[in-house]
Amino acid sequence: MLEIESYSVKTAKNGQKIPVVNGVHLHSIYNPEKECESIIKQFQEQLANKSEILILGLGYGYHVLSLYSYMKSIGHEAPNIFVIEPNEDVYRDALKFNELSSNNIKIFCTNDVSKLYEDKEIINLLMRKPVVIPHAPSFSLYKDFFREYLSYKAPRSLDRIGIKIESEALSLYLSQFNDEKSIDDCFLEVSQRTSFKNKFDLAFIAFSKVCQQTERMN
Amino acid sequence: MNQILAICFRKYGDIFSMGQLITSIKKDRPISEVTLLVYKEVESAALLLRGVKRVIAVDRKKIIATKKSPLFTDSQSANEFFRIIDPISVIEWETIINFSSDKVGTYLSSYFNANEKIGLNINLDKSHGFNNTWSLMFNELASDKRNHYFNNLELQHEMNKVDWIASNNKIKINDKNSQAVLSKFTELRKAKTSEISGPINIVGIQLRAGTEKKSISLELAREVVFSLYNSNEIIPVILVSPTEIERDFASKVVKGIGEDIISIETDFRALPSVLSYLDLLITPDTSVKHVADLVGTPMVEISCGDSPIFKQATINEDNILVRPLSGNIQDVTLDDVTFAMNTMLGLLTKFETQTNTTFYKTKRDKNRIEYIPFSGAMNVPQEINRFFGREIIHSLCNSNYETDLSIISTIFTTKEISDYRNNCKEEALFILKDLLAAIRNINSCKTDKKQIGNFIDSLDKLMAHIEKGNAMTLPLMLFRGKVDTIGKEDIDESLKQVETELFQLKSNIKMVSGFLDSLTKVENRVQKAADIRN
Repeated sequence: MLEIESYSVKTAKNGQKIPVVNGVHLHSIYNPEKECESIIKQFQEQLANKSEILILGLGYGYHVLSLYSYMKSIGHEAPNIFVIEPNEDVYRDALKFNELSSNNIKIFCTNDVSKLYEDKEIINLLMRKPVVIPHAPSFSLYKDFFREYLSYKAPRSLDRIGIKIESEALSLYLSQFNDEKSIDDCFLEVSQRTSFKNKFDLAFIAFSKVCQQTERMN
Repeated sequence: MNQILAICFRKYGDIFSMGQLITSIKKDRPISEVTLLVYKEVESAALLLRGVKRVIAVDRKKIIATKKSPLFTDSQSANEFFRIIDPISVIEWETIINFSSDKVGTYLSSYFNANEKIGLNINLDKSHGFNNTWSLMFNELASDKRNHYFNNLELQHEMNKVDWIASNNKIKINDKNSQAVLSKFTELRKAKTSEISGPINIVGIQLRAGTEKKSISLELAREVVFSLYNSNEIIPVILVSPTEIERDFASKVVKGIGEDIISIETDFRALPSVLSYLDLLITPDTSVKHVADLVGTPMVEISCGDSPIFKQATINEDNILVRPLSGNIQDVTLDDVTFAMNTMLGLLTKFETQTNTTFYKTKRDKNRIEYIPFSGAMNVPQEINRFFGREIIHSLCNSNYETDLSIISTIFTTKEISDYRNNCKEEALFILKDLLAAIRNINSCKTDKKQIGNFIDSLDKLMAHIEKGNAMTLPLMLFRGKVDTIGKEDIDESLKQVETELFQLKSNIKMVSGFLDSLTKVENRVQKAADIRN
């Protein structure tokens, strides 16, 4: 849970707005746009090789916009930037103060980590192994949230995942198993049967055989 | 419209290899629509095959990554898999072809609905199901790593009951790429003909294969390229796939030989255009080889490594397969490659060097592909066994088949055939002895179930003959496959069926022993021909 005790908006020396949460300034009070330079320096090599970035912490998005411009300047024609921000107030004002609505910038605002791992767009992004960049002030302020995000372990039991199964046939099939079992438990149970009970067992075993493969094709 | 689903969950080589079968099926059933079910990694290759209406891809990597990651619930991987599988499962397919015969493909083929299923299937009682004896033998032979009686496509045509259609139009060729290749090759030829008169051959060299053991070594590659570069009649062209490893290897090969040696870097979409304008391709066992077969490029295949040579070998008529007896690429010499290449290009007819390599020529007759050893060294018992085994398998799979051992008489001497026949006779006696023991033991089981242990022991002893790899054991392989089709729920019924199969095995062993008499006739024919010559 996020513990937000105070939230206010200040104006930096260069006139740009900056959020202050629980007394923490989420951007430089002198020149928020310049903060990005240190990020670029730190991640230069990775940014040259990948065009997708996942930023942990939005603030008011100055670093996001600067990174986007930088990516274009080094030859990435359509860089994709994804941002995770747990604070809804900051997110709302970020959209108000900065032009962050672009097809190439996608912001996910939630303080529920499990929801992030259910989002198809995030799953697909993580599969593509983007450059992960923490926005230091946000990361430090919401460290519990981001730690939970980075060390998250998804639930395994059927009672927790059943509702997220989209295939009606699979959903119906899994209802024959005890709720506390995991998919792996079900794989084992079906494979140990002396004969299959119904035809869907065959599809389920095929699924298990794909899951058991290694990434390199044999 | 007949809907055909072909399942192939293997790599590029198998996908391209499927192109021949699809061509034959489309000719046999012109109004059918062929859908391919493949892994996402090879989808681009599958889309190139002619005769394919649509390609459905399972994103294997994504499923594995989400399943193995602690971050995602198993619903993610399940959704990814069943999003593809559910729509296929509601279609009533006319035919499903389990082309890859791997575990995933076999379970899915068994799950989907079809009027006819080709290849291995799993029944609900976990027994195996096959559409015909060819399919059963295909499955059994797949586990035999030493012997390779057939090219897989030959078996696939028999399994699908279609005639082989020879065509060089099995893969989509991009016209723009073809124009560019033609223009470049014309330019190269012109430059060379200004130096010499006579025909100029452009020879493509593919250097790398999937494994080091199959790939052409750097030393041999340099020797070959150097030799071709200095030839008056040949322009060498190195084929490179767009990877750092291949680029580096190609630059090491040409270093110090000639700055002007052409390297062509192509992906699979442009490759058919390049291959179709080559006069010859020299290649190890790669997916490039299969694409060359689809466009009809004349080929010298250098077959090394642990993979069985003929199962996936080049299929087109008059190509040459080069195989060192050791299977080791280090034992292939420049002379071997030069001999094969010159034979293909009609530049040389006599072989003048000693070699430990066998040279095979491909010959096709209807659905049959024969790999005929025509020069070099030879493992004689292994080669006779292969030709003899092919005839046995044809007879086991087709009761009307008339054996034809004439090919053996054209290649081997009387003594070689006679030695092999004696060896087979001995093996047949051992098999028969163990078979009779198994029949005795199964009889005892009928009255005393405690005897089942003894019966299983005798069955194990009988099946152990398969390990010897002699063609006489092929009826045993057929028996093993048939036993796997027997349901296991009712022991009495199962024993009854096994007993029936044992008697069928006995009759098959007798039939095969009869072929040994035919070998005697072959020996006599060879002797007569030798006498006339002398």
